Amino acid sequence: MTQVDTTDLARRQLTQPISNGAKPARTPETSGPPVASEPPRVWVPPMAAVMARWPWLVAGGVSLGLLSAIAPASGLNDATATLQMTSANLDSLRAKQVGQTIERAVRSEPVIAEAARTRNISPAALAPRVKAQWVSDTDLVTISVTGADGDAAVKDANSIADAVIAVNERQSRSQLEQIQKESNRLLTSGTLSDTQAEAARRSQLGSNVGVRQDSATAASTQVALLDPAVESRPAGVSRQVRLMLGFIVGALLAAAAAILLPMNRRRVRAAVEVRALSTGLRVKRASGAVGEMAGRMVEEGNQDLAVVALPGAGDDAVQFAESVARIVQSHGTRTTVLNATNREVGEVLLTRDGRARSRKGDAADALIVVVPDDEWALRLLEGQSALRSVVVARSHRSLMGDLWRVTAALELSRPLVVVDR
Amino acid sequence: MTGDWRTARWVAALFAMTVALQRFNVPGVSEVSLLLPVVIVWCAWGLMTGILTVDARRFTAWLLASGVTGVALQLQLHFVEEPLVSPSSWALFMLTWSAFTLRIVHNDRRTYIRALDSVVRVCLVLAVACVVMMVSQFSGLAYRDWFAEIVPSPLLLQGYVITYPIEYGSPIMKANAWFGLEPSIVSAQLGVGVLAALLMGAPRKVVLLLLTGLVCTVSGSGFAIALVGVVVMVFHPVRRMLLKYVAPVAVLTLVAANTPIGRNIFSRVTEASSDDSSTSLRGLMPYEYLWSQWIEHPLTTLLGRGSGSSQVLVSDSGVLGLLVPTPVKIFFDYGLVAGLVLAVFLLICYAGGPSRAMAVSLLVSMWLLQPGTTQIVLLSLVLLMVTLWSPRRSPVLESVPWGGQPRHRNSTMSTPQRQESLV
Repeated sequence: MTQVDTTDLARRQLTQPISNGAKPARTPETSGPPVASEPPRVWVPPMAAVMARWPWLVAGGVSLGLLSAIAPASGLNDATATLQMTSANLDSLRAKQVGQTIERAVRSEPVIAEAARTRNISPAALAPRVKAQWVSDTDLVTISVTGADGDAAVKDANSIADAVIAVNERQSRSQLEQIQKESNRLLTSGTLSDTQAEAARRSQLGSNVGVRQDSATAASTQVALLDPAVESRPAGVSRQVRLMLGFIVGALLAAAAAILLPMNRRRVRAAVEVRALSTGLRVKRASGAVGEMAGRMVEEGNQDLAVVALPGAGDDAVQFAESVARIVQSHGTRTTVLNATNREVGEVLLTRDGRARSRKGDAADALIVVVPDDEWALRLLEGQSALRSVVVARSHRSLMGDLWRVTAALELSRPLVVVDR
Repeated sequence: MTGDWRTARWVAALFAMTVALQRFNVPGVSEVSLLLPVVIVWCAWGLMTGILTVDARRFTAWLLASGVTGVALQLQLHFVEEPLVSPSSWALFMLTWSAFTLRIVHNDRRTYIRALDSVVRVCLVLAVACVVMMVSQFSGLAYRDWFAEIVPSPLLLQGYVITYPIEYGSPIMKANAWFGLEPSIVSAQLGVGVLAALLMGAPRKVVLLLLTGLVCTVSGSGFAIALVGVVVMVFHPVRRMLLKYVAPVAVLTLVAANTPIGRNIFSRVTEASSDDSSTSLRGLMPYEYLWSQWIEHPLTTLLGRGSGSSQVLVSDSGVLGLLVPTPVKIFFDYGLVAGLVLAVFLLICYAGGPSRAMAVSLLVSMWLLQPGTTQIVLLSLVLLMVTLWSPRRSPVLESVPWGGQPRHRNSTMSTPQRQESLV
């Protein structure tokens, strides 16, 4: 394997006439639109983008979580009392109905008025701060009162509970009184003239009244205070929940940013990550790529290979080229490695005719040309499908944007991306 | 098995589960449907087996919507007067819609039609069950909730009206196929079945059976879906396929109109004007009830009252049957800014599906008539019929004019399907 400074070679080729009298080769014209110097818009799989930028998720989650946790709370306090319903006939459906009825009754005008009177405040000041909830699948109803003063909230909750009990008892008594009034009215009216019949009538009425009173009592629902409010706690969402919520929300927003923000300035890391971020690209580590590329050159008879060096990977590209040439040479194929970083030289070597003359001049069967990722080189390479190409990137030095720009230009030659550590 | 059969069976299996398991709840959590973890696990399995993949656009939109609404939640706690914030309500919302970030890999037209075929088969079973339930009642066999008698109550989803009489005082109950959550939900599922059958040119008897089952539910949900879908189809070349159904549907309509069920359905066409009608309670009154509370304070309008607040206030209203439609839920709970971001994400989930009729009808239904933000039993219809197939690979199904094609192998549909080359 020979590494040749092509300056002389290129100069000889450009100045000496060709032996068959043909005109000297000219610098190849560039045609078609110029290779974009800006990296193309690349679609990065969303999950790959999130995985690649996972530290953002941690940072976003921790930041927003801490902010949420340390932010001052609303300043309000919550006090809760619990009522229990009891009745002779309280199946699950009836319990739900009664529970929901008591829920409404807690915020009804008679209850609020009575509680406000006890607390010596206006009903309008109390009503908006009261909430009630039937606890599903139980016979319990909770009463919550919110307030700036925790002790006052406790007293308000207990006064509401007492008011519900009192109003419920009054309603039960009122029902019994109603039965009594109706019975008295019946007893005093419709008197029969026959004494025995009248006695029987009164006896029957008395029995009926007893039955009705008994039924009314059995059917009524008693409400008792199971658990009075003792102390208040900060209202709203607890600090722990705010912390967790902030962490989750921060991570979600960071994930969205990881997907939306371009990755052109991201440095190449590992081959597996480049493969995940670049759909459709063939990516390998240098150690595996050398053998593959040499094998293809030998088996497929491709004569030439262009090794494009991304910024920061110049030495790696030369080393790769020499490694491939060594293997190809060992299979009996005479190979020359040419460093075409000079534009004058490169513009000759990257044309088909130029390479043919180089092979002839060096008596080589194959050429491996190391080129930079400059626009002039990519423009020469982009239309050539017969020339194999490899793009060499250096881990933690080369940029993803440069890699995408170069591979987009070399699309026709289906480049192999090699990531060197 | 080719990829498209796997996909069609995956869709059919999930649809069958949403029909069969709709009355179950997560053990220990009486208000969370069992369908939610079922859908998530089934989608995860689809991801692992290559049937599904992550859709970049919807995934990013979901992340943004979740993040922005989460930030709104935090701001509500500090700046909104009397916030009613429920973090669990927010989490349920985002978790429910996480499945909508996925996409079917083999989302070609042929696979979609195969999936429609499978959905129609499931709906046929549902329709037969509804018809049997109705016929048995008219034959003198009183309705009994056999399902609730067999399944332990801790496993049953609460908060739904399983069924109720077709009219006041009638002993005949609206059909829910016994295992349906509500007649309106069964009706919505059958409505999707009818539309699927029309889109794939199913035989007339199939469509008639589905429509008969739909009638037995005595609920407008399914009719709304089917009718809006048909209107969309009328504006596309596929309208010629509808001609063969006109006569039998007209006959069915005439027959139904002379039954108590049919009269009940027809009487509901103009029910929106009545305050206590189902349509009004779903589509009009929630706005009237919550509007003043939303605009009361500028910060409430901007930031929202809190996740779950609209439901709490509606429940506290004491108005039986008052529901929270999607626009109310979004903007009342999360405010203008976060609500807009969330609305954009939700609307993206309806865009780009293979069938315009299906997308438009479900959009109209979920946004105007149904509480369609966290009810997975209804949202699964959107997921399976629209979102998972988006973005479509070819023009919409309705743009293909009618033509014969070889039968699908193993399909029970006897009518020639769409042209293979157009699929």
